[in-house]
Amino acid sequence: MSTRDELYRRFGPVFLEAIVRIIFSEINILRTRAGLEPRTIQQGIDSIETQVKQLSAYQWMDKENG
Amino acid sequence: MAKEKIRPPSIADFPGITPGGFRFLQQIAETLRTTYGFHARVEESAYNWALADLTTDAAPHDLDMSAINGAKGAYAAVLSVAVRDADAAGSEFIIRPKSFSGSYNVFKIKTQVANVVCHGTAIVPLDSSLCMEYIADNVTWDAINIGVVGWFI
Repeated sequence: MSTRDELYRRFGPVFLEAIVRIIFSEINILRTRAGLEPRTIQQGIDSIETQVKQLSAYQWMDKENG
Repeated sequence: MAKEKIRPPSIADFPGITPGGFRFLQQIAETLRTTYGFHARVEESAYNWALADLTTDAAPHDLDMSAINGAKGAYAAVLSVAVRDADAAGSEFIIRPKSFSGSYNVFKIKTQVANVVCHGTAIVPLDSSLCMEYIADNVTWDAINIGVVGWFI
């Protein structure tokens, strides 16, 4: 069994994707119970892409020295 | 302001010197100019050390550069370092002089996110046997690559 120490050290793109997939599968359980069709992973990817494009960088991201 | 052009010395600048003596001085100057300083390594087609060559147990191990003939007499190495850990951020790799026991004023590189390569350039003093040492965290690395960029003599 993974510990908190080990698990969150995996922070990175794959870890982020795993979280998104978990959220999706949990949402789809609720959608199925509510009689709605499940969302596909591709729909999720498209939604995230749309959101990312709408957001701008934080001010501190523009500083050369962080 | 334009940089002043320095005229090479002529034999007339050394009253009383013989032509042979002047030639000797010129040879010393040429040896100093071409021998000492930074020496770039020719382009290589592979890393000098990869993960399979290294021991990742959080203990110091030798990084021996003596196989590079041109580096004989070098006092410091310039290295290109790349590390990746597929499972973890915060995995640390250190290169330091062999005489060191701590890790304050040494080269360190640490993975910032899992599964993404971190690159760095190291300048590390060598001992008289062209050795330095490395310490790799005791984790499951999936890449540690080190290339010799050049050295100082």
